[in-house]
Amino acid sequence: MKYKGFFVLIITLFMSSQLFAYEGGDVSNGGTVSGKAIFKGAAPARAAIDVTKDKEVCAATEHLSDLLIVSADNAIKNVIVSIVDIEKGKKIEAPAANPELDQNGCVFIPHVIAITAGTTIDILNSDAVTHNVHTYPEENTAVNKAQPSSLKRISIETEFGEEDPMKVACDYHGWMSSWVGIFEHPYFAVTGDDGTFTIDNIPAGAYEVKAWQEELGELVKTVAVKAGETTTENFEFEK
Amino acid sequence: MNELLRKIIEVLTLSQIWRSFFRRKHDGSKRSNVLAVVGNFFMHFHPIKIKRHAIAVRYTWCMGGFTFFMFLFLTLTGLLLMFYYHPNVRDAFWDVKDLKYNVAFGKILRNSHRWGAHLMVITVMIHMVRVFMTGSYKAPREFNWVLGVLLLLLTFLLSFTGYLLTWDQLGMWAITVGTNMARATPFIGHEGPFGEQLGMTAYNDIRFALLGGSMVGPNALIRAYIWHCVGIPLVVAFMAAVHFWRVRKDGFSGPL
Amino acid sequence: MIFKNKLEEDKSYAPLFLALSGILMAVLIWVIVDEAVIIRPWKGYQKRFYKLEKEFLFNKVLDERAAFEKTDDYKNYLDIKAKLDQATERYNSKDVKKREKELIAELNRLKKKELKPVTSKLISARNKKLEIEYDFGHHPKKKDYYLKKIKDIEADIAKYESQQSSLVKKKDAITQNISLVSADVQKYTAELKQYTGVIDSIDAKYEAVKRKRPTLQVYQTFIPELDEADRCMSCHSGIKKEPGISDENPYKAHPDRDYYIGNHPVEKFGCVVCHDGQGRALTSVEEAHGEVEYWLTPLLRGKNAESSCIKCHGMDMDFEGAKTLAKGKKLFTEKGCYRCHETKGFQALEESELTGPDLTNVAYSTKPNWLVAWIQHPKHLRPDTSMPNFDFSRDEAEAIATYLWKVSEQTTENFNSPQFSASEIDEGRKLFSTKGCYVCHSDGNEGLDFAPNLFNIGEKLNYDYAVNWLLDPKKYQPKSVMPNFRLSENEARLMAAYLMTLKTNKEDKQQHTFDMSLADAGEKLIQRYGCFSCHKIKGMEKVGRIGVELTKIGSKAINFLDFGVLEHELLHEVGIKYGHENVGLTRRTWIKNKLKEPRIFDEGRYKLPKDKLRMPNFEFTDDEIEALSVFLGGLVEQEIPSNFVYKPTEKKKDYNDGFKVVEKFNCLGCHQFTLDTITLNNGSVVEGVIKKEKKGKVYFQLWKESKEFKKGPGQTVRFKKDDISIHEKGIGAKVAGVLTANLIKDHGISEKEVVNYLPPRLYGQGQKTQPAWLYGFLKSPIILRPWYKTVMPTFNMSDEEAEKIVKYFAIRDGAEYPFEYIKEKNRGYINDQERKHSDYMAKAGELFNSPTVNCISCHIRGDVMPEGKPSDWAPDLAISKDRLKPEWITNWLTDPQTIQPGTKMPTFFSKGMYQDIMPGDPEFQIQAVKTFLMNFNN
Repeated sequence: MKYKGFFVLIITLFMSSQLFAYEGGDVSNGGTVSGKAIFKGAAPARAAIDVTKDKEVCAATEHLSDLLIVSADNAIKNVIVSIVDIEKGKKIEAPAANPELDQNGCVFIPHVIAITAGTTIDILNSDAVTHNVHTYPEENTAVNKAQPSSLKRISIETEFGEEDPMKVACDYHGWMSSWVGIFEHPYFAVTGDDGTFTIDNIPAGAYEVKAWQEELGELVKTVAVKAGETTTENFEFEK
Repeated sequence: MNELLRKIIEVLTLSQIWRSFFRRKHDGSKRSNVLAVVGNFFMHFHPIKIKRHAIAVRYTWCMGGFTFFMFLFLTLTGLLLMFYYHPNVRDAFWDVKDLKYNVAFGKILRNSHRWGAHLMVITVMIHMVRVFMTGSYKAPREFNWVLGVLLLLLTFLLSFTGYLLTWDQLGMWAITVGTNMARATPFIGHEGPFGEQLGMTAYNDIRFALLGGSMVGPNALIRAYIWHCVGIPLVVAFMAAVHFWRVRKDGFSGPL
Repeated sequence: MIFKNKLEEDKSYAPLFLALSGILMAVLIWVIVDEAVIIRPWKGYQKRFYKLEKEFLFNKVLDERAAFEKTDDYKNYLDIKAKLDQATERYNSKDVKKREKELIAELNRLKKKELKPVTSKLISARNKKLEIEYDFGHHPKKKDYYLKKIKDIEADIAKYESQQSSLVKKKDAITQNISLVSADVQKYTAELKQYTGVIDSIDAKYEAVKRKRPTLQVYQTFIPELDEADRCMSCHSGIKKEPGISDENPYKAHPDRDYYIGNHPVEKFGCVVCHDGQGRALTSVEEAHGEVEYWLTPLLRGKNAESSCIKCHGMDMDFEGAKTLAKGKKLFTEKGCYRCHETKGFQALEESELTGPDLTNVAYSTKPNWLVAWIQHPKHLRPDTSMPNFDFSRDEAEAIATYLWKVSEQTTENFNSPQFSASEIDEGRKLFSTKGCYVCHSDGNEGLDFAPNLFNIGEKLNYDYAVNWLLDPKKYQPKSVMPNFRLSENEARLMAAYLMTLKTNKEDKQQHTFDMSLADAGEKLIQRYGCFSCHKIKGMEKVGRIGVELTKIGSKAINFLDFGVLEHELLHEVGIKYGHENVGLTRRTWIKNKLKEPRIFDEGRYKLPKDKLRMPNFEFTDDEIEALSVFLGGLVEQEIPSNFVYKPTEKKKDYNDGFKVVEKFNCLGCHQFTLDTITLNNGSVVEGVIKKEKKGKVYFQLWKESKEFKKGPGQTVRFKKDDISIHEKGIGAKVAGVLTANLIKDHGISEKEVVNYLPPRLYGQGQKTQPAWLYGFLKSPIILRPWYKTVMPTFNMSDEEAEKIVKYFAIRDGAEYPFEYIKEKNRGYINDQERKHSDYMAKAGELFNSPTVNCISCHIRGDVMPEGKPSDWAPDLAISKDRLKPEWITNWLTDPQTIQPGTKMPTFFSKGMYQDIMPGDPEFQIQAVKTFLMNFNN
């Protein structure tokens, strides 16, 4: 079971390679793009989540809304930055273990992740209530499975890349959501608390780099990547 | 060589079989020549000798003979047509079409029968004009003239009955008009004078007798067929025979 | 020559006879040539066809051969053949042959000289033994003697046997050696066989093509019932053969051969029954096509051939091959032609269909200005109306309006609507946009065109009437298809307020007042122009028709079609001088010109006003005229024998009837009935919906299993857009785009959520709901999903119509109809289960109510609503036992995504879950929950 995701990834890559044809190989002297996602204006406060169901479990700890997390110095968290439609680059490496989304206290932790197509995601249920895992992909097959507290782990497979990140939500608890960016190439990153991102080992050339945030939308910039050098590109969002 | 040939001919022509076929000698003698005509079933009608003026074409126009020839021609083509024609309402029209499209030489067969019929009527009329012009209706030939008129009428009736056999709009309506005229006949037609008084209705008058019904339909067709192919030709044959016999007996009328 | 003064016997008629003979000879030759060649054009066509066919087959064989030569198999074939040739050469060489000969000689010698004698000795010894054994038995006193003898003979037998076996071994060895000599040849010959199969078949085809063509002959299909002898194939020799031999007539194959000829084999139907013409004719092209004088049924070319479908298929024309005809019939029905012109087969529609609205209350509903303007030229006010243009003068229109006003039952003097605030009007607009009006009506900006366009309805209707109309349409127009939306009075008022704002001229002109003295003139006009044929007018309900009967218009004699003075001009346009040159063409020309401008035949003639032509102008487009002429051309006299008439199966008939009702009420406006079916270039077929199209790639959600993709319903597959060979779009949900936009705009529903507010897909409906319940629902809809903004209205359809729709779904989805045995409702079954599994129903109830499954957390249960916001709710479970089919419930509970991909209902039951509540595998648990649902009483 440990290597199941790996095999699925390889097989799916092989199958989808017929259509997408991302060529993964050795990149010598690749460039890097790094930068920061910045919020223009005063950093908005995070509202508390309104728990309408299963209060005993879900309202036990207060959670703040994770729709838009801006730090004191205007750094935006959970921004997915990726290169648009890159066709040749470094090899895709399967992750050591399946990435996890944990339903904990009736919120998804982490709120945003990004993976390559073919990776299997594990959804955990650490709560004492039933959640349901409902994905809303535009390209991939949707999944809607009930996950009682007894079922600790459910696996979701992905096959195709998604143009926009895929929402994973729980219908039982309407405020619960998470986002998964699925790409058919390995050039992506998710900003952390400090709002920074780094994408490395890119073959030299001009590319479109897209930054996406669930509330603020997306920004696309053209970036010239030079061999062996780091290009800095910041994304300034405003509401 | 000639001697041999002559010898062969002699043996041949003197054999019993030859003599059973030909009852006369072929020696060119006057007697043999006379017997050629008189001893022939088909030709004995024909005079052995005729007066010179009888074959003056500018005088006779030959129209009588022509008419008779047309009659024979029509009989022959008509006979051949009978092989391909069914006198019932389902088949009649289509058979005529098939004659045109499908039967080998059917087109010319049917067309020549039709044109021949027209021609026969024309020639018989010209014949009558000629007979009138040459005064050949006068005594003692009055009876023959009457016969001729009857033959003319029969010719018309042949055309009339034959017209229906194609079973198309032309024929059907022609016969409709004709038989509708018949119902106006006195005494025997239900729309004629005194017809009603004599108990004539649309179902028992002369029109009904002609049509075999009250409308032009399947019965009318078969009746027309019988009249056209059997009835009238038989009558014509007899009357024509008497007509020719009278011409023989009365002799050709002489020059003016 | 005949000379005057010569004696007859001296005259020579030789010149005359010569001349006559010459003429006769010439005629004879002409007759023979005419007969053999000129009137047999089919010979030439047939000959050429066979030549083309030969070329075609030839090329096909060569292509096959070339294709084969490209394959690997061919390379292998050549290899092996080469090896075989080598082996054969070796085999045929002197030494090898010599050796073989020697071996064979050796073998024969062995067999003859050594083996045979030994074998015969052995046989005789065995026989002897039998003899001695017999003697042994018969001479008990001489036992020993005979025993010894037996022993001796047994020794002999053993000796011979061993000799024989060694000789046989030698023989086998030699035989083996012999076969070794030719081993190679045999091996390669056998190997070659697997390829020669293909080569041989290609060569056989080649030989077949080279074969002499069949003798030229007349091909005829004789059909006695129809009285037809069709000889069309004598020239059109390729009509049944495969397409591709030629593209021009008469050599080409029938278009869509497999469809038309596949369904109507030539041997049974012939050609003329569909195409008319003169089947028996062979002498020329014009004769054969019947395009000759007076022939009543000349060839029907192109789309006109569709006219003949009516003869056998009747008025059921919903099939691929008669699209123009179906369009013509649709126009004939919709425009109401049969109302003025009696036509057999359409009388029933008079009762049930609405062509023109009931004018009994026109003084209450309509504003006077509109009424007069409308009567004068309807299309100026609403371009897509079915009402034709009568070309009335202003005075005539006023007179008619006056009469209608006079006899109107209800009247009003108030033509102004009350004042409303902008927000109220906007409320009304919101109601209009989401109650479902757009499904049938357009308001000038968006919406469908099934029902009249409302862009200027404010100019037409009076406010009071509009409100009452919205509350109950059938009260004023009993035949109308418009349903009752079960509006509250306030909703109706607001919507009417919005409707009153839909105007093109914003200024309120003074409304016309009627001079009642014109009413009589109006009445006469109405009687003359036959308004009562389409509209119900008080006092004129029983009046007859003013138009000519059209039942057999397709066979109407052309001399009854009055061209007026335009005959030569119009016929010249289509290429003939006199009508009888092509009877069919003349008739069609007359009909088309009549439809284009119905009163055209009055042109240039002096006529008293009362004799002038009356038919109004429908302003048909040329396409519509063609379609109508095809339809009318099919209403002919010919009666087809019953064994030719198309008899649909009961199922098909019910299916078609049901779909007609579906079309009548515009169900397709809201609901999706079928899904997209896409055939890919590699032959695989997928059924479902397109999720997304991006950069030449299509993401397709399967609703039905796809074996080629190895995926089941609910799962997404991806393929290139270029790979699509046929895309059959699903029918229905025409309003989806408009409704989605309006729900998002007016009700703030998010893009992702809006799919839960759209009318449900009816794919698989027959398998989902119980027929009796669906029937009741159609007669009187209930709210199944309370969060919906757009709710199914009450159509007030008749019992028959509702039944037809239910039957349609059952047939379409292959479901049981009308009864189905539901074992779960049977007390006996439940007791049985209780016996086998203790506390069966109690446990099922526990599972149902358990916090991990918790059906009622989302599902409505009778009067009890779940928690959370309404858009998260699910349908009422209390009605499931009457509404849903049990098998559907099973499939649903097993995996909802396979039945309704994208649904919010999660998959609950999988192996190993809920063992603490109800031990067993998922199928068992699902069956239990289903049984519980089927007996749900709460």
